[in-house]
Amino acid sequence: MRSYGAMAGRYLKQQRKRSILTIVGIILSVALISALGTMGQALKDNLLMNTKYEDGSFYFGYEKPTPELYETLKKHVLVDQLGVLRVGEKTTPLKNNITVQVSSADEDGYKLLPVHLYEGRLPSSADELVVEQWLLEQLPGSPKLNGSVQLNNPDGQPHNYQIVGVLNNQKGSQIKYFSQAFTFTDAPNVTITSKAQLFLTLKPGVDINKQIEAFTKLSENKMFTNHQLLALMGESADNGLNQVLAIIFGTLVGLVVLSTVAVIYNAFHIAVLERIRQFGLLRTLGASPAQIRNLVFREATVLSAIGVPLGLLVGWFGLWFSLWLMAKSGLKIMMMETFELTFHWWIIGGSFVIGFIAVYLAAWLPARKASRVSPVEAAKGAGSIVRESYRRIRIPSLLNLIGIEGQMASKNIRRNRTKFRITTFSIVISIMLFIVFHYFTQQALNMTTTTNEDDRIAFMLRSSYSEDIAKPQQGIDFISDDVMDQIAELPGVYGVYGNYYGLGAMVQVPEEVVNGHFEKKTGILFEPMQSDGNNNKIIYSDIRLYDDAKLHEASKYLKSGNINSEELADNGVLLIQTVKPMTVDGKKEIMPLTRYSVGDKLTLDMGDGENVEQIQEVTVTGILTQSPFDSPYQENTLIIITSKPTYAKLFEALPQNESTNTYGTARIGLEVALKDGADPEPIRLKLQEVARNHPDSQFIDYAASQKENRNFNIQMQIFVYSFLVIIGVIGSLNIINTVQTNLLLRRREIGLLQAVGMTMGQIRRMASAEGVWFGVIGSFWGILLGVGFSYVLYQQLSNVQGFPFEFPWGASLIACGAALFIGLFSVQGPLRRMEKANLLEELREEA
Amino acid sequence: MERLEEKRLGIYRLWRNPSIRNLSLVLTALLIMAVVLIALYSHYSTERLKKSWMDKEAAMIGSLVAEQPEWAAKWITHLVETDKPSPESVAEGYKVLDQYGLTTALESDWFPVLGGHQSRTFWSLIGGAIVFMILIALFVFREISKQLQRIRTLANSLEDTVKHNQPMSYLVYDEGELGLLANGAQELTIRLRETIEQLHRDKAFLKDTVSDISHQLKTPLASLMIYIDLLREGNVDAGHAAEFLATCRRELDRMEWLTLALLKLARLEADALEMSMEEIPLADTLTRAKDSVRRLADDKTIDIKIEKSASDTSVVLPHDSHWLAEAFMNLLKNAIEHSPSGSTVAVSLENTPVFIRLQIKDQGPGIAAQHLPHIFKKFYRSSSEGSGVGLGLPLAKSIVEKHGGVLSVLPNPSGGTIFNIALPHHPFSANSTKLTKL
Amino acid sequence: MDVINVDGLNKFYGKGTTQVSALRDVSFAIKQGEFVAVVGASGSGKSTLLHMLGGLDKPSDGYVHIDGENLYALKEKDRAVFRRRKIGFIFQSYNLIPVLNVEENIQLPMLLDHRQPDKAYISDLIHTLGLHDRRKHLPSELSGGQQQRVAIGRALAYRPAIVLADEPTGNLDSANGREVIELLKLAVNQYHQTVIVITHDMNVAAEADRVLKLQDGKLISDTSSHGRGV
Repeated sequence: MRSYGAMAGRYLKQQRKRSILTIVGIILSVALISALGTMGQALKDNLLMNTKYEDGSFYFGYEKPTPELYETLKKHVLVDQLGVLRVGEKTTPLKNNITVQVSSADEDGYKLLPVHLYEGRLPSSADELVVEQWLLEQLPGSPKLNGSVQLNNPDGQPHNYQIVGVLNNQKGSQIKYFSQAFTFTDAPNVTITSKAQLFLTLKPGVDINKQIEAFTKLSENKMFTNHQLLALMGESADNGLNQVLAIIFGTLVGLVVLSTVAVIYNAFHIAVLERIRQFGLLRTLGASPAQIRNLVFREATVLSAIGVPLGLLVGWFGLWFSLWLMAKSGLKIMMMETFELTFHWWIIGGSFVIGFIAVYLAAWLPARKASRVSPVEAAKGAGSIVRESYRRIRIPSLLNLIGIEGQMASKNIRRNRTKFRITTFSIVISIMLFIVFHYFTQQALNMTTTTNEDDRIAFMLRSSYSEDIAKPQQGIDFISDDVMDQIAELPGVYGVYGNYYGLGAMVQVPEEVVNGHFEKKTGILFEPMQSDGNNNKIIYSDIRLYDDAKLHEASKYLKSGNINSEELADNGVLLIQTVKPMTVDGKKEIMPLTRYSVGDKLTLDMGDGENVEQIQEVTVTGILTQSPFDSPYQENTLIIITSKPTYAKLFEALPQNESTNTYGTARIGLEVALKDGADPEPIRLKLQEVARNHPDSQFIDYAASQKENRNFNIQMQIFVYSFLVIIGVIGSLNIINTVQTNLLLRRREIGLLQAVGMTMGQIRRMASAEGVWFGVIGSFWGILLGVGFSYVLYQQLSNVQGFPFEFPWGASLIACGAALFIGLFSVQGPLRRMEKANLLEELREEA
Repeated sequence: MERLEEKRLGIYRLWRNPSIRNLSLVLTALLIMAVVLIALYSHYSTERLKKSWMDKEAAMIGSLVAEQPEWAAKWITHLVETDKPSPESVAEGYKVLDQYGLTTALESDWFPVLGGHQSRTFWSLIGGAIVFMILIALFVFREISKQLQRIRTLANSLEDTVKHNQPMSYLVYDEGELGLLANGAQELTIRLRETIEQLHRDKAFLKDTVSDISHQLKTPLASLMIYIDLLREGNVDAGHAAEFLATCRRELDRMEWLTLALLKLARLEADALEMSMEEIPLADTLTRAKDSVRRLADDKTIDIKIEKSASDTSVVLPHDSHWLAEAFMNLLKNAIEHSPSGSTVAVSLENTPVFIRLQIKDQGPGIAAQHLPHIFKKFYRSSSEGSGVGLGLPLAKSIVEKHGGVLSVLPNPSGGTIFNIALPHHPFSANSTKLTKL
Repeated sequence: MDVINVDGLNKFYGKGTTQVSALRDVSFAIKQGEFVAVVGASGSGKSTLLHMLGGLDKPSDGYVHIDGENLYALKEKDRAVFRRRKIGFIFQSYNLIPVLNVEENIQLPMLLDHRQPDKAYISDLIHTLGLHDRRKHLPSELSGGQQQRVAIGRALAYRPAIVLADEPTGNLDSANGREVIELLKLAVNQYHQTVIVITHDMNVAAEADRVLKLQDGKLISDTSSHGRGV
């Protein structure tokens, strides 16, 4: 031993179990902090990438530019890339009412605009063209890649193009029968007309925000910014999103740090309390207070020197490993295709620094306490029981009800205020942390991935309803059930759903059922009407027909009631009354539109409200949280879902006129949902075959974009749930550590109790009562604080998107139950050890 | 005992010095300050240079635009180009510049923009460097003078101690080298004081011994003189003469024993005697002592019972058999003298990890508590009984202590006295117990 | 020469009506190389006195001079350094550092002073204390007597001028108790150290050069004042 400081290491080695627990605590916290950082960064990167993919990567753009503006921008010292897009003048009509617009862009234009190749290459001359994949078949002569086609060029003149590239299919363009094709303009030869648009980025390092004003002034016509992109880059005039992200992740990291500090503080505090006499002894030997403080800090340094780097490794490889595991266990490698673990030095460095600071912060108070130990302590006896203050007059505790063991437990708990506070504090922190994280992750999940079954749908097949094709006969399905079944049996198919024609109806909603809040917040006023002396309001509704497959999926979203085909056949409907309108202050907010409950009758007016025959009444048999298919939320309409018999009845009630459709309850199309990671190719081939057999059908393929979307959602979920698990582990460790040391410190006292005749069973009951009581008290405050913090987070989150605050019942229950369970079971280990040890031996040892 | 083992000061030791800590703190603060100031200055100076340089460029472009607008545009794009200019164009440019006498050799003073920048930079850096040097020097001087002041105080204090015989008044309790020096100086003065005190004690001891001898010899000498005078006068009959001569003989024996004992004690206490340590069984030494008091014991019919433990010859201890036997003999003699006739003096031995403990137990009246602290003093006699003069016990104690052991009296509740001799297996090393040899 | 000089020492605990005097106007001086026993009933202020002498606790009034230094005029840190260089403590309950072995426990005071111990001296000391074959053992592996010997070794390691012992034999059987007292006497004899022992044991007190008796915080007798030299 070269120096007294080696004592720190010796102590840690001797108390191996506690040291390991502390190190594990540090490791988990640092891992969590670094993972949180990575997650935050990944979220931002992901959003940024998404935005660039969807909106393009340009910063500013100009409409109707003048050639002078183009020249100025070309020479501007701050401009990095400058792209030109000439939007085609006239569209080329094709068969099936499809139109194509040929636009031209220069090289930089392709870089800055959201044009994404599926295969082939981008055009490099004015004779070359890229088109969407689905369009190939629709073009005259159905050319393949590298084929040629004649289309109107941007100036409206027919031109022969060679197709050099194929673009990803866009869902919107297939539905709208309108597609854009792109050709090339050479930048020096570009002619700037009012049809052109300019896009540009600035040189890296330029403060974009400061330049917005200067660039706006360059043109008389409006300059537009890529708002979403700039917002994410933190460069838009309105920096709200980044600020919110910073606040949210700041709060979460702060909580994790707080919990780390609590865990380590706890460990150190107890370690110091245990060694009061030793420190006193060192003082009598002539150790200065600074030396004692150094000893404690040295322990802290050793622990963090081990824990922090390990934590960084665990954080990094933990993320990597969970992704790898996901990929292994059926989610295929597709996870790895789109997800990259971006390595950011600032996250690693930041976590490193934060980890060390947290440990030192936690060790600071115990170190001070140790250094203030009076040397007289060493000379005094170990009788710490004597010095504790005990207030006599207090409200009797609930524990007193369990007899003498309970009374002892309550006295033990109350005897030492500081120890009680430390113990409950750490439990409170753990519970609070869990609740807040649970709340946050759930909300974040809801926000970033508003998911429903639509996400899985990769292919659509529908009858094309162009005017020149005869209307299908009522009641005849577009695709037969056999075909449906065949498709459903293909490998990788998650579900095959039929599409049906939707109806509209006015619902006469009694005034008291309408959510008054909705009208106030959105400024939308529903039309009032009188009926049978009741004050009603008219709210529009969509009536949708779901087949069995769809109803099956719908049961996942059931909030109350049930889905029963018999009830549905008998005038029963499922209702979605949650909507997401734009509020007067410009935010989207989720709220209920009406307050129907299961069993209520809905009065539907299928016509214009004048004909009594057209009034139908249906019963709500189930309420769904959101729409299982199509967009999850409407803005201000109700959605009514039902099965064929009821739907047919409602269809009958429609006023018959010219515009009435003739589909009825016939299937007009189908949607195919894929399993995660399934290979879409065989399904695509099958559907193409089906489409060929039905000449009037149209095949819509957006498997690629579905896959991307779905991946993002799954990634989010992996993140969220692994975080919750880690938080749970940290919290549990903390509680175990605290409760166990609390008990082990009192080994001597328990020996004494045994000496005066308490049986081990009684002691066990006493200790268990204490453990549970700590759980109860901790849960109470933990839930209180947890909900408080969740509300703070909610306020931040609702700045981005509005939704009602929900009390985190689930998390509270889990946390509370876990705390009680851990409180009860963590005392059993030490008790068993005590039971085995010779208590007399221990009594002597501590003397 | 510690040592200043390493001659060289490691960083770890250096750091213990408060002056080093202070200096590093100050230097770190200055470094931070310097970095901040340099950052501020470089920013400011670049801004100034940019401003004047752009003014110059703007003026040039302004005049160019009037004549050759497209050249102006070209110029501007070149201005902020981050790519390195091609070496050819640079060479070409210099060729043109050369024609006008503009070469890199030309002093910067001829470029108004650079000239200002140069003088500004030069003077600011010189000024800054001087200020920083002065600050550093100030702090270093202050720290050194603080150290020197402390050394001076220490020197003054030492001088006071040496010249005016005062206790060391200036003590430094820090962990640095100065603290160690002060601690060493203090230890030195304490040692010095102890040595002086030892000298005083030795002197007093000599005086005491001389006066003891003279006092102890005075009476027998006087009586000897009287006897001899009487005998010389010849007024005594033969019977008396024989008795007188016997008395004289006895007195002379006594005197011889006394002087010898006193001389032994004096030599022992004055450290004039080296023990010749030998690894021999303690039992042998004990037998030797027992043999020399056998006659005395037999006279009083006292049984000296050496218990089994004490006759075990396997108990070996390095000791000087001659002297230790002397000590044992004195203790046994003392026991015999204080024992009633027919009783037993028991000798037992105990071997503990630290000591070999010898106990000599008699069945005499014991020693009253008020005498206990004094019985090892010379000529102290707790009772008029016995023939001793009070030198045996001090002699025994001196010898035992010479062996690095402890001699003590244990009270015995069952009567009698127990002398306890504890001899360590490994005595403290002689070197470290000795006073500094000056 | 007086190594310890105590003058008018008072110590009160508490305030007002609950005030308790642990020491009342205690004055005495102790010479270098004396073996002093402090006796008295429990609660008579013995331990408080020892704490005062060791600079552990501040007196309410009065002075303690050790080697001419006013102990309580020093700063806290300086007092700590003073303690490690000048005073050795021995306690009833041994008070060894459980994680350090015998050798390290003995070296601790020097290590606290950031100095390297003299190996030969330490090894000699361990030999004398009869702990050589146990020098790598932890305190928990030693008997009470052995532990107390380690504590003595620690108190002697830095060769402090003063060794303060608080009931050093209190937890030991008589044989081990004897050994402890003999070792302390050895320290007095061989190193001329000053040893002050608090004790209940009259046998221990009987071996002291001098006995101080305390009652209710007052010094009621001091054998050095009478019976000295006849």
